[in-house]
Amino acid sequence: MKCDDYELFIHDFLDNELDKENQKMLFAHLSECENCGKYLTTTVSINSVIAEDKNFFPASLDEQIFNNLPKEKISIFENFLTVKLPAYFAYALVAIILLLSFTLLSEVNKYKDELHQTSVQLKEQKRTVELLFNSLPPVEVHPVLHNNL
Amino acid sequence: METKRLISFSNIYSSHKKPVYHYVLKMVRSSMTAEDIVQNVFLKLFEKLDSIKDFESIRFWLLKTARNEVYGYFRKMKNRNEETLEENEKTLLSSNLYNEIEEKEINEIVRDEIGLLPVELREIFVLREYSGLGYDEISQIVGVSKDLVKSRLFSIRQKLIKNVSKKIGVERK
Repeated sequence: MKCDDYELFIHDFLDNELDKENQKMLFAHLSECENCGKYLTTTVSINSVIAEDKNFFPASLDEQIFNNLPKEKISIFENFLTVKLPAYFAYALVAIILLLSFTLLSEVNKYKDELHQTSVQLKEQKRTVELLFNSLPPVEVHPVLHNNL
Repeated sequence: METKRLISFSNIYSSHKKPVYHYVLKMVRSSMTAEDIVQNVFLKLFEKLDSIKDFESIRFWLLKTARNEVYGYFRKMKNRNEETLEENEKTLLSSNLYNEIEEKEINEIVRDEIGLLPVELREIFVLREYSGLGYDEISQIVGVSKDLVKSRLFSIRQKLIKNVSKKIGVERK
């Protein structure tokens, strides 16, 4: 095997993709070959530079991106709920609601009174019917035997 | 509903912002342009968040979108003025994108060498090393076979290591 093959092994090893058998061969070669040893050292140095660079991220970019996100889309219903009405309009709306509530309450009370009166009248009528029924003379029933034999 | 959407976006953003940013930065080699492109990519994600069903392939979607943006930028720059682009690239290569301190000489050599790679090769290298994609995903994004990705990646690494070795004085016989 040539040094080029071992250089490929070095990358596979650093990528955790080299099997045990080839690892043994690589380490045996590294113990003998100065060039491949230097190749490995430089590869590790480059990898550590890359690892260091990878952690860098400009802090201002976070803010820039989040500030430029499109604003929340408001639905028609949400828009209606969040719309700002003039104060006098709100007062008028409250007055109308109160007026309607009182009208409804008085109608309910009126209906309740009528119902009570009807109930009293019905009770009176029932008592009159009972009195009339009780005032009638008792009826006697005599059995008649029609036997001509 | 909106809060839930924001939380979902925020989770995806914090998990994937670095791989996307480094891919774009290494490709365009300008931190300002990279920031604009990354912002566009994540704003697109926010718009399409409701229609995304497969959250496992979100990194792939983000990098694919970022790639479209990067190549759109390249086309725009090429149309504007090819000479200006070349000049900008030369200026960017000599300048330090990260403003690191002097003692980190090797870091700058490595960054410069990555920047010197041709765009097509640099893209494969960055997708693997900075964005953490597998060979399959890279082949889908770049549009070449998996074997070609693997062989190109190896030759890029070899070239990069040899160039860095020369510059840091680890000469091989």
